[in-house]
Amino acid sequence: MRLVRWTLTGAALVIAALSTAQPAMAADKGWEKVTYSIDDPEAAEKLKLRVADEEKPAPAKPADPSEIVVPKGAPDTGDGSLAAGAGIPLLPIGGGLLAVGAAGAGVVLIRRRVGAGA
Amino acid sequence: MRRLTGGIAATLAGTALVGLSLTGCGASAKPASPSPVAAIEHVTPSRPAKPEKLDRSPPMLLSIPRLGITVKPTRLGLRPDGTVEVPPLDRPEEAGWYSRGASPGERGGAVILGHVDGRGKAGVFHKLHTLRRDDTITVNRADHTVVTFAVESVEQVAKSRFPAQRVYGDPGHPGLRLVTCGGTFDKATGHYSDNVVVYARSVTTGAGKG
Repeated sequence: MRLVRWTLTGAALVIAALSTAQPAMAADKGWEKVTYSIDDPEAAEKLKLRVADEEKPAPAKPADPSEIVVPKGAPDTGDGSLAAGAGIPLLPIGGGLLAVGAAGAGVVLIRRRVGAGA
Repeated sequence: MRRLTGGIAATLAGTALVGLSLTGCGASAKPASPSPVAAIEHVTPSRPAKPEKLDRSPPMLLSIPRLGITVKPTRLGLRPDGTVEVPPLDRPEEAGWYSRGASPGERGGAVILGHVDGRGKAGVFHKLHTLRRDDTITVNRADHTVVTFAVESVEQVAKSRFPAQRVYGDPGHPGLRLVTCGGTFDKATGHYSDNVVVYARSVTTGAGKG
């Protein structure tokens, strides 16, 4: 009877120890996943969360606004790939027109020559 | 039981995150059809000053509702030659905040730059020139405040006469300047002739969702 009681007590202690350790591990695992998602800049962007950059200090800026570093020149923000007319190779088009024009002139000349001979 | 509860909590949190990520997208610019820059409005700022100056805090989200733009600005600095950095041309959907200037909401002219086009795609600021006075621009900041700006003027200026001091300098109140390219594209030089600059000033500030 005593053996049974000690066995049950021991088993209860082991179960109690496991039940306090494993839930914490399981919970940590779960939070690891959540934390990973939030720390992922893309996920944070999608979630519109402001976590990753929050901890970064803001870049230093002079306290006196007159000391702000003004960049030189004008910003270059575009490569013209969608600008009207940009990207259309004018020379090939011009060359094509010349070729068509020359071919047309040849046809006319041939017709004239044929007509002249007839 | 606690393990089960932890598991359920983790599952629910994960589900919520997936749901949010599916519905909360929109950090890129709405594609715009290519069109030449035209009809630029020149308006003299006349809005009464309401200087609610905030401390320095980086911008985390820029929204221009009328253009359907919601973008998370990157940080830009200076190139070795002293010119301002711009977002990479192969990612024209990005916008960048000039981090050596004021932050949006802080006293000064906060500058955010974006491409008009790049690598055959419409840039984030492709339709910037269509903004008009009193259009709203909102900036969510890292300190969880949201600053709403109202457009004061939209100007197109030759690159050779770029008003650097007016754009980057201190207007005496919290201002926002959005900058992109405009005008005609010179194939010989590989540059646009002009810049389009939107001048806006802060009208309200509030607490954002955390």
